[in-house]
Amino acid sequence: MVLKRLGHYLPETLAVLLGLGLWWTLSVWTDLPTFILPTPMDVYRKALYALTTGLLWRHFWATLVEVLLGLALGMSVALPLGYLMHKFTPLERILSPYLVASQAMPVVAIAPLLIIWFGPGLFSKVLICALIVFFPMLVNTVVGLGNIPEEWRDLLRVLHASWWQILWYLEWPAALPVIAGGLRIGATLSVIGAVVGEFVAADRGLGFLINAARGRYDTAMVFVALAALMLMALALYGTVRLLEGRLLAWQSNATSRVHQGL
Amino acid sequence: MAQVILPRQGEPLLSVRGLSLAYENDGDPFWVLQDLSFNVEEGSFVAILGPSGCGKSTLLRVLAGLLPVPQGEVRFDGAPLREPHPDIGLVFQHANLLPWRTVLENITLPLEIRGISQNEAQRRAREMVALIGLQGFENTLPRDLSGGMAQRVALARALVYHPRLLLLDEPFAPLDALTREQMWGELLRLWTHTRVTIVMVTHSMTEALVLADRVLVLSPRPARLRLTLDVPFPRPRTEDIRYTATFGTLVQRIREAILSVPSHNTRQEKGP
Ligand SMILES: Nc1ncnc2c1ncn2[C@@H]1O[C@H](COP(=O)(O)OP(=O)(O)OP(=O)(O)O)[C@@H](O)[C@H]1O
Ligand SMILES: [Mg+2]
Repeated sequence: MVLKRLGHYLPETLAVLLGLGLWWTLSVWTDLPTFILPTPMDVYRKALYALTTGLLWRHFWATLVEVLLGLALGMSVALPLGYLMHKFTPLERILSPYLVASQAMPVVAIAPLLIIWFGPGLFSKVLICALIVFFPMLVNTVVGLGNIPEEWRDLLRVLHASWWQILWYLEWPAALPVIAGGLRIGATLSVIGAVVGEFVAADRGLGFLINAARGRYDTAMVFVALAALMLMALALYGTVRLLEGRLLAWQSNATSRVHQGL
Repeated sequence: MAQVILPRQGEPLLSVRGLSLAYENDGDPFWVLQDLSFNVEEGSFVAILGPSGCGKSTLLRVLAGLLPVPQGEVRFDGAPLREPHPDIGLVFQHANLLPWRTVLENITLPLEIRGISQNEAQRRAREMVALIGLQGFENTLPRDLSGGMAQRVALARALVYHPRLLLLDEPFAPLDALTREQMWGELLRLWTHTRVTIVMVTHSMTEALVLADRVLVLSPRPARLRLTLDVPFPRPRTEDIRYTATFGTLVQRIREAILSVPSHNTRQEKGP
């Protein structure tokens, strides 16, 4: 069973092994100092150390909290605002200068300002994550609501649904696929936001860990922190996909289900 | 008849007087309905027949309360109709099922909106599922239904809350000929069973004559009433009526009414 699985992912497995091999040869044969290119073994030992001392987990957790709170905050502003913008088109016109400006400005550049205003603690990081998540969530909410067929709206009107019943029975489920797409992008972006915030000023988190390790020329630790960040982003992405799979099962086409059944 | 104030009991369930409607087209009016007047008696089956694009769906949307009445008057159950009415159901040209809801959940939707308890809604929806012969498909998603099955679910969804008036917009047009004829029988069975009043839009003369008590024939756009035809076949009807001479004569009259140019209009309307 496991072997069959592995066989299925043979090309991917080979590609990863090839990459590791290249890294290995490069780091051993070129004889570069460890602080420029550590060997895979160096990184592995560093990872073991960081895991056993609890160091890695502590920083991982700090970043994860920022990422998740940022996602939650960004979403809880973007969803209602997207709904209002869909209902009252003038609002879209009024807000658009601010939205365009907020998008033209790279978040990396506002991060120092937010830290001046809100201090180097958790809140400023959450805010940076929320800002970066906000726009794709807002756009996807507005697009998702706008794409609902007029006939479905007519159906709900004929059935005498109130505005919140239309929201609950039609608009939310119908826009969910597009909103979930925004969440998928947002989850990855939120990780970037957290790291940017931690680079500017922090005393914890994976971004902080990278910065501190770099100061000590502890390149192996930088590699470990990078791997942890990648895992976090992948885990978030995977979670959203999983949720999508559960909630949006009605979307996948019939033939693919037959295939899985066999 | 329209001028006489009738006692409530004699008043038709639906009455349309001088209804005209235009869409806006670059600032100019684009006339779709012109001076339509007709009545629909409670319990009857009326078919509205007209060529493609003449304004049938627009008329049905007005009767459903989805479009305002700009000129003339539409009365339902003794009161002017201004917005969707809880006693009016509509089945769309395409089944229009919500794809994330199963068959049963699509049928319970109107009841959920009415705040009927989950148990009661389920019970009534299951009754409807049995009535349309879809037992075993309760938990199927719309994407896995055939066109005929989807249309039956749409019918069930419109009937489950017992509307007094059911509006049907070419519900069987997308179906193949065999399925369509089978659906005619099912619709008549449902109609007899529920005693709901039906107004059905169609562009099939056969469909109109097989199903309806009365056929209203509309002209090409802008839709005017060209002919009102009372269908003489007794009920319950069998397939055989399609091969009678009367059937052929009626088809001929309808065809002439649709094809006639407006100036010959009056002569056609008098008929034999
Ligand atoms: N919302 C709208 N705005 C402008 N014009 C419209 C609108 N809806 C329909 N029309 C036009 O009004 C005319 C009548 O449309 P309607 O859909 O009522 O016809 P129909 O008889 O139902 O046609 P079909 O047989 O194709 O279903 C058409 O020419 C159509 O292009
Ligand atoms: Mg139509």
